[in-house]
Amino acid sequence: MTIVVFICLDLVVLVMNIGEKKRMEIIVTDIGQGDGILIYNEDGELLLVDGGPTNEFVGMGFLQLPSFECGVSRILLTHPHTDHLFGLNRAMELCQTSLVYYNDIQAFVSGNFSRFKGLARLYNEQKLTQGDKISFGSFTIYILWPSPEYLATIKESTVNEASIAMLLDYRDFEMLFTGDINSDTQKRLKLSDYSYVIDDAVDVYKVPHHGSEHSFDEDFLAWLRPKAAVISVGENSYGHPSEKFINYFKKESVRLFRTDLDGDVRIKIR
Amino acid sequence: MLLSLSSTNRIYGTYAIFAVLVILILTRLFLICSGDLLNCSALMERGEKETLTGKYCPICNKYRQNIAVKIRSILPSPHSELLLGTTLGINDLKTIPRFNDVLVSTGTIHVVVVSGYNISLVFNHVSNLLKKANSKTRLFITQIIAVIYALMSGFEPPVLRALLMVSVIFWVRFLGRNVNITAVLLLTGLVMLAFNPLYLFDLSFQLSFMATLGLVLFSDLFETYLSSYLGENVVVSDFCASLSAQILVTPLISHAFGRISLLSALVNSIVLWLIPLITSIGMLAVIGILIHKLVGKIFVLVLLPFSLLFVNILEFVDKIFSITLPLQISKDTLIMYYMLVGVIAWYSGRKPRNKETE
Repeated sequence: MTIVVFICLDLVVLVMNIGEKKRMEIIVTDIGQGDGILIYNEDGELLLVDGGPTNEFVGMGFLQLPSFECGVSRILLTHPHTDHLFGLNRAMELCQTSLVYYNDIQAFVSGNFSRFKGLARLYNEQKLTQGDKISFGSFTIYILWPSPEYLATIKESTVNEASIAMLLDYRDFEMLFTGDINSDTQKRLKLSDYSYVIDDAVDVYKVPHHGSEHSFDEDFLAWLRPKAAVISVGENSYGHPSEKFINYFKKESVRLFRTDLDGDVRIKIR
Repeated sequence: MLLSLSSTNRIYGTYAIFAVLVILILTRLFLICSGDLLNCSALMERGEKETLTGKYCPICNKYRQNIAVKIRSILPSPHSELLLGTTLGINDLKTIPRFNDVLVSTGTIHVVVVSGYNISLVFNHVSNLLKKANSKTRLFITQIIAVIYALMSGFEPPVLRALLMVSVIFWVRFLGRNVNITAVLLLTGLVMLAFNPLYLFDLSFQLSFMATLGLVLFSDLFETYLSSYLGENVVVSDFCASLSAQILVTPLISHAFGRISLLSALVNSIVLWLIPLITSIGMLAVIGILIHKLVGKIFVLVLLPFSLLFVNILEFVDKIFSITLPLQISKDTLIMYYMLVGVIAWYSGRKPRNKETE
């Protein structure tokens, strides 16, 4: 009898902590100074975009009922800096993944990136460059950057500019993801080519590089006219996020969400 | 000899051994550090970061790392870090800095390391499993398994101290003698320092030694006093154990980390009952995963609710109460404090205690 009660309690605690299965939801997680984004499609499949600077990214939410197996379908690394990469290694240790998207930047060498490449080799790998398109359930993801020509010229000091930038589209909802690119690179995204996708304005803008002032471009933002913006930022000594972004969003009445102040930012798509 | 002689001869014998060891340690320390204690401290900081297991038993280290990879493949964070810390002494806490901060601010960081407690758990579990074997065989096998476990868990100073101490206690018991825990603890510490005098500057050695000394010196005293008001129960017992250890450990933590947890003893008494469960089931999960991933996973599913409870309680307490005080005591104050404790220990050593703390 005691054993039965114990097993029941055991299962209740587990189920309570694993939580409900998410659908059509994008979560910009509060992972400190870094990026870690979860994208769930209508089937509850999960695409990870970057993994943050710590293992804390890979918590109980990754386990799915009833098998308690990890439910990460695909992984996308925007660029190999540790604040975007670290948690993905942990995710690949825990989860069986079908596809890993990343660009192998030869100019950048680090232990974490080598480990990432080693783990990614266990799954299907795919390189992403400007013009590529991914279907993820009902989501369509247009890859805006980097171009193959630019990738060939990357140096260690310009790895941020090789970030995979993408436009996620579902019916009349669009969200722009920009990795850590700066203002010059934003001008090269050729967003005007995607006017047929962007109905009126971009709904959510994931601000590049944790709100760094080097990524601020008023003209670009004026063209984009985002309805909401999300900054993934934690405690840092770089002055992120810049006052320029904060003041601009205030002036233009753009709703701003910050992971350091608001915690996980959840975008539910209906 | 230390434990077999009786009355005055035994006491003089003990003091003689201690004196010889102290002279040996001081001589070695003088030679290693070229007569400068500050130099010793620097030597320790520059010293090899590799564990003794990594140095002397590479194959054990390889197995240890393989087990860690397997555990990480079935358990999310911070539960895998918790399990690997409590069972194999693998310190992955730097990869989960927020939970690490929660552990520090609640004064429970000591839980996520392999300590003397694990060694005594192995001794007790294996000894109970071999009940039907004759006592000599049982002790011999238990001893071998404890040594293997110590090797698998990194053979860090706290493990080495506990292995020596628990082994002496079990063998002396087997020989039918009474054990003076304080004497065994001091002897263990001195033998370790004679082996490597630089352990004197190792924080894990200092914390492990002081925590155990605190338990030996004060635990009975507090428990007797508090039980008379609150009755005998596990919370009172855990609170007394925590408080006893904290008395000697807190100054060290303050000196090393510059902050102390004000509610540490209270928080420890709330969550301490979970540790034997997490450690024991964690050990079974480690053994299980060596057999088959599915076996390991079954044990992990039994473990998870306890681990979740532990993590959730600490995160809740940390969120609700601001319980750390920024305080860094100086080296001089630290030395004076422990000299005072030394006097108490000396008095305490004159009245052997029978309670075996670990």
